[in-house]
Amino acid sequence: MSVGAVGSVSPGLPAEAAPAGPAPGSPAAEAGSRTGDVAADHALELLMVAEAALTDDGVRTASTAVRQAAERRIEQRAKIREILRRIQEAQQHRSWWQKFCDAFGWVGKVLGAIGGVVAVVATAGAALPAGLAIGLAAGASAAGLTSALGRLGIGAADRDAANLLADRMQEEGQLSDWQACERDGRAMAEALVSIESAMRQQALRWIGNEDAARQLAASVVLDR
Amino acid sequence: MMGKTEETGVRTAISALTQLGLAEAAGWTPAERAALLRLGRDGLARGDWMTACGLLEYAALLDPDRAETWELVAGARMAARRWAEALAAVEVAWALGRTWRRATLAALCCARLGDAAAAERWRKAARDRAPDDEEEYRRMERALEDQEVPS
Repeated sequence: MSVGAVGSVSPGLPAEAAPAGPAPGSPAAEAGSRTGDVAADHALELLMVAEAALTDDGVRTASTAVRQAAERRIEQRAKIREILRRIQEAQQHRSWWQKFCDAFGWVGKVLGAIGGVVAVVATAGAALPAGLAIGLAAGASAAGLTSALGRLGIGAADRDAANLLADRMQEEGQLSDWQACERDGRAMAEALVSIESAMRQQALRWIGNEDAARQLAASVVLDR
Repeated sequence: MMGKTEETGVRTAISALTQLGLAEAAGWTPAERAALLRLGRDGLARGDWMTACGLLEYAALLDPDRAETWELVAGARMAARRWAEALAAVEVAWALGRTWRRATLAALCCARLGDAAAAERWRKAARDRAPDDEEEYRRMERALEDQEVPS
């Protein structure tokens, strides 16, 4: 994910402004083009944006609602700070995991990657996806690390479930299946980490600029 | 085109963001969030891409599991010629639900980014999910054919 207008340093200014003419190499836009670019015109047509234009009454109603939200700022500061704290805490768990896992080769890396997601998901109170739980349990068992999980920021319930599942899988000889899936597991972990990390960073920037976002919303209203 | 792995990652991340409850913490009611989205759409309809991007991205943050908002974010970024970022937004929408419209938007982005192979895969994905509605079908084909390289 990338930072957009709300997350930018200057509110209301996207990281990359639209150029004046068609992009190099793009098909020439037809006369009457809305955006100056055929692909973008098609996108807006697909999204039926033209049909979404609001009546004056609709704009007034929406503006009033957004203004009311923008005005209620101060009382929400503490809650937003709490969310920031939770995200930062999750990041600390992640770096702890990473340091630990560096010492244990690829299995550790997979665990570390999944652990990063688990830390965020657990902090956020979300349920751990079944696929991740299995990967976590099997990976931990293969590395002989199940007993170490508890020291690494994972909740007791998750840890118990992981241990249980890992033991059961070991008994049933499923660990060889896990090892056969090593490459897929590693790719999955890497993809998860890159996406999850990017989104978390985006969220942090957005939250950090919450005032800017509200100001943008308010300025749209004031422009009316 | 997104792999299954990446889709899982996106859904996991969206789920974590949703669980943070940012909208509630920031004090936005559902009606106010809907109003924010409407103003974003209105910005798009008026051709004010920058404002539309800002409002819609904020709306996506407040309701990260709403695929339709990510579609609109993609549309606003495409209008602003931010193709790679538009593709990222479409991919989030796709991970949340596969539709012909999202596949078509992704095909348009990939074509603009010069990734012909990915564009072709997205085109196929769109046609595999072609809409029943005649008018919508025509819109999809117009968009896909404009980007297609003649063989």
